[in-house]
Amino acid sequence: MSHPSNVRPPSRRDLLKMIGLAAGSSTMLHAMSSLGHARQSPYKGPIELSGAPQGRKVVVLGAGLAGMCAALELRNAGYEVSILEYQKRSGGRCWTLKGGDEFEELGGYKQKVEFSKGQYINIGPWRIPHHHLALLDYCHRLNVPLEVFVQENQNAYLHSQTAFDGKPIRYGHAWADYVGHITELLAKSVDKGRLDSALTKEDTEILLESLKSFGILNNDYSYEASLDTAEYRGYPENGAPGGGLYNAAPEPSEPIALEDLLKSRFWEKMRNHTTYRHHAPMFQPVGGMEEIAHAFAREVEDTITYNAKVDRIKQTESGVEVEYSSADGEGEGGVETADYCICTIPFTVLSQLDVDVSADMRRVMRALHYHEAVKAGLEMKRRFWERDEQIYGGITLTDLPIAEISYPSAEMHSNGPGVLLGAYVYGPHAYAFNSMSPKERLETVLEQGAQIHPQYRDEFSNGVVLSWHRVPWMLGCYSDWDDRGRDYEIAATMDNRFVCAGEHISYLPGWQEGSLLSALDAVRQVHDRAVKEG
Amino acid sequence: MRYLIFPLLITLATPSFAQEENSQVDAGRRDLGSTTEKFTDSDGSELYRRACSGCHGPEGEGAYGAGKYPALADNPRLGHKRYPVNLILEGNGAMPSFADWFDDEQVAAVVSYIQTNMGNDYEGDVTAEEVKRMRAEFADLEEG
Repeated sequence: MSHPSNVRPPSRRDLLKMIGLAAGSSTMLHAMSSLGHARQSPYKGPIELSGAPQGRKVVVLGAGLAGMCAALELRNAGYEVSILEYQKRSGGRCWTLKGGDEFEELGGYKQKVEFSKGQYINIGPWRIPHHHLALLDYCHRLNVPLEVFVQENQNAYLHSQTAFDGKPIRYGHAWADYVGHITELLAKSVDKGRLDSALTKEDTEILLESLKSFGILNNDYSYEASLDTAEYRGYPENGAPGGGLYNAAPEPSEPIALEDLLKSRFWEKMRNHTTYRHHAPMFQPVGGMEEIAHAFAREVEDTITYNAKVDRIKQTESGVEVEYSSADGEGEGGVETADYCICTIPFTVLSQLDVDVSADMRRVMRALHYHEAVKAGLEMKRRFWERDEQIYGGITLTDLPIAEISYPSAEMHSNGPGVLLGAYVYGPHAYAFNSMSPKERLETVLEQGAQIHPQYRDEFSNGVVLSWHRVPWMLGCYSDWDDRGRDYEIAATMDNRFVCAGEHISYLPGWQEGSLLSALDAVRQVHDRAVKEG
Repeated sequence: MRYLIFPLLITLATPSFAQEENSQVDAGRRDLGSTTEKFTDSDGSELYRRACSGCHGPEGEGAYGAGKYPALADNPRLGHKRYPVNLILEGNGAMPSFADWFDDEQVAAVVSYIQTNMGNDYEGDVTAEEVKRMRAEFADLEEG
């Protein structure tokens, strides 16, 4: 590795290596942090599996991201792999609905997607944090192009049915005014010596200066209409900065009163976009989330048996036997035998199957419940949110049952149609939607959305509303651990020759990163066991 | 599809709460019998329709896919009130817990409904008091 003829000063990597060798890994991590390279993710690059014994076979249950990831890595390491999948497609919840797609829910409701060419809705996962390093690495390795997903948009809305006469308020107005008002209150009480704080006189002066700067307060520590505050919250209609003579000079805009902001409860939503998992920038695959599933499938599709409903998972001294039947009743079932089994079937389903596992694991499967969720994709003939309201991507949050409207991050500013995420419903409201026919759901979503965007009435073209509790292979949306504790360890630990994987076996429930990290951990457990058994 | 929705929307063009009273839309659909934290109906059949029927079927017929939602119609297990009360409060497998979303009266109402409808002909006499006692007992078991 050294190049004596080309002497150079030590690179950062060389330096880290030296520190690491000299002082052990904790010093190395400290050094990395101070050089700005530490990453908040347990993913440290592609898994390395060497020394796989000859002729070992692994059966993987479920061709979602976890299952396909496990299959890909195990096969690369020299194992024989086969996947059984209930559906006639791979990808699991990594699922993008496009024009021409049809799906059937439990209870028999069928929906046909009628979106225009190129339009889609990611009905499952829909955004990728920049710190989900495993998922990003696989996108890189499997050539899945990404684009920016806009999470926070100052020009999107906050909406309350009871505040501001039910009119939506620009997120940026509410945010700037809330910050302005609370910094004013704090600055005034600090200034008058009313705040019992441990700060020194000097620090108190800096605090006042900072509050003034952060809240855009005037010299009296008041937050009020001015050209200064307009620079942050925006300008009134007909008062934005212009050019030339006519109507050119900017005017101040009137902040929303603190009392109104407090009563609106908008503050409940003001940290939504700043949770770590939503920090900008976020990403989405170009053309839909399912592009990731397609990329995995390109690698492992030859190992997948579709339309296979797992009925029985048997463990013996020397291997596993998985009995399956045809999911749609047509065609043959069979028995898949292997040395080991990685099972990504969600616990909602797995807990109902006949599986040879410990009583403890069986108990945990039944105890883990899944979140409900209902998501709607609405195609609009015209991107009115962009053209009429200057909303490009991002999310409007409302206290209506639809909870949110997300504007597409793809094809911004196009003249064509666009698909909104018209609802993302949780909790009791989701069960209420779950009980409706797709037509009723759609009417309800449109009726509610029209309270925020009256254009819905003229621009709606077609839509779908999926309830995850009615998805035949899921019976829920994603895992909801109350308290992981010992139960989580039981669920995540190999039971004889059988190990579970998926978002439910992670601290990232509902995120694809959790599925992949869990799959890699399951692969590691299988490989270690196989190497040990020789 | 569009034409079905159009007349519905037209009545709702103005801000919401001001015209709630004279809206032609089913008021129940506006609030969906629920908030983000609770179901708000008190009638057993209405609670069943909102909270349960999406999975177990409007007539309790159940649903069958990779796993199933068991049928509640003609279900002999429902004879013992403790069984449905336990499932509703604690969940089991695909059945989530509704403990935070139903109060004791609502649990009693929905259990009485399923015990006396959809082909079931049991007493249906569980009281909110009994539910309250069972709620405490199940919570203890879980912690214990």
